[in-house]
Amino acid sequence: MRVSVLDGFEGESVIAGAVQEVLKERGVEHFYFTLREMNLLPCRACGSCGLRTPGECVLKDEIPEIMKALARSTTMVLLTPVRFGGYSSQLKRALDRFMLLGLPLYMVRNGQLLHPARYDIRSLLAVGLKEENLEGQEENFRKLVAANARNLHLEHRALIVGPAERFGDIKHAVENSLREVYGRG
Amino acid sequence: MAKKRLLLLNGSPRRRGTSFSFARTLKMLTEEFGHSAEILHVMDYFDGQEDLAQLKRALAGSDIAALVAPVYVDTLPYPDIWLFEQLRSAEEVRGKAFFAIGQSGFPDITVCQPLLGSCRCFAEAAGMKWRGGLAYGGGAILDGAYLEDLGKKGQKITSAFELALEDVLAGRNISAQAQELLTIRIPRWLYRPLAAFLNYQARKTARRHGVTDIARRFYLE
Repeated sequence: MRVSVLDGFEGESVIAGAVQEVLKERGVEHFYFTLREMNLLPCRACGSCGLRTPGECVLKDEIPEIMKALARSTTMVLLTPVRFGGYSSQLKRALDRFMLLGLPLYMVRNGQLLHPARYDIRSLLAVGLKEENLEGQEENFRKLVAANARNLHLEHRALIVGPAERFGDIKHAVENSLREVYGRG
Repeated sequence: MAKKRLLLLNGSPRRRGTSFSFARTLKMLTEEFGHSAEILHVMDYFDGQEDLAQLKRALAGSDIAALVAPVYVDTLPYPDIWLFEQLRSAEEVRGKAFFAIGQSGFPDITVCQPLLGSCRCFAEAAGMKWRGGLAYGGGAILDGAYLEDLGKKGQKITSAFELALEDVLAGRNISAQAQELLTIRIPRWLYRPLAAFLNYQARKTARRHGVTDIARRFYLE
């Protein structure tokens, strides 16, 4: 297993701490990106990465570091507060560039029209920290993660953690989720 | 009915794409109904070209706000989530009605669900009155064309927007009928020939740009 972690929190978080400990203790080879410290520009949908510079983003920022890691990883881990039933803007500014992970072509799988994958990533674990109580936000978060996984051709697991959960319990849940999602991928 | 003021937010990183075309038609229809509407571009505030305080003042002066946005990686584009984070605790949005339109390049409108779900969650978090969402599939094909230039397809979209605006301006949630009008039904058996056609077009375009390896694994090189 080789893991790329995209940390979309705005500051230190108990989830980030738990994930880092699990990866270190298990000796999992990984790349860790603290997105708030990175220069990442918004995707402008210029289309260059599709049919002009295939697979390469023309914007000059730090996205190549993330993409090089993802291209070499089997598992992607996304860390984020559950923000309006989805991802934080910090995480999304990296994810908006995920067109780089797909081909500008189409295929049909399970009755869905999809882009084929460009690399061999196999699984996705998204860990969300619930910040507030909004109706339907957990369901929406899980739907979003499932959609990402479907479009990226990944096995997936969405783990939502409450604000009062113990560090040890979070570690345990992360470890189980990683094992499960990697095993299925 | 008292004259209402509608603030339309173009949530696309592109100023003149399909999201803007939809917002433009919504503005025209709102004015035909005897109300007023204004379009603002989220990117202008995100890029710092305009002061966010000005957007908040515009929101304070409106009765209804709406976001029209494309689906990026299955949900709202990053600048729109940023804007929601900025407005979440703003007094200027409290109590306003809010609706959203999501548009995706893919024909399946369920692709828009996470985007619209996030808009609904934002409305709840910000104390706004959620009036519902509409999903459009096939937005990329429109590529920013004005609806009046699109014949029957444009007329159908315009009719859907008319219905939705009638509801929202009257203080109602958007009806299912509006979504029904907006939904393009492409039979699943057509997906494979559609994919083959789109792939043929893509390869042709790539060759025109001098691209020989469309599947290049650039970040492994």
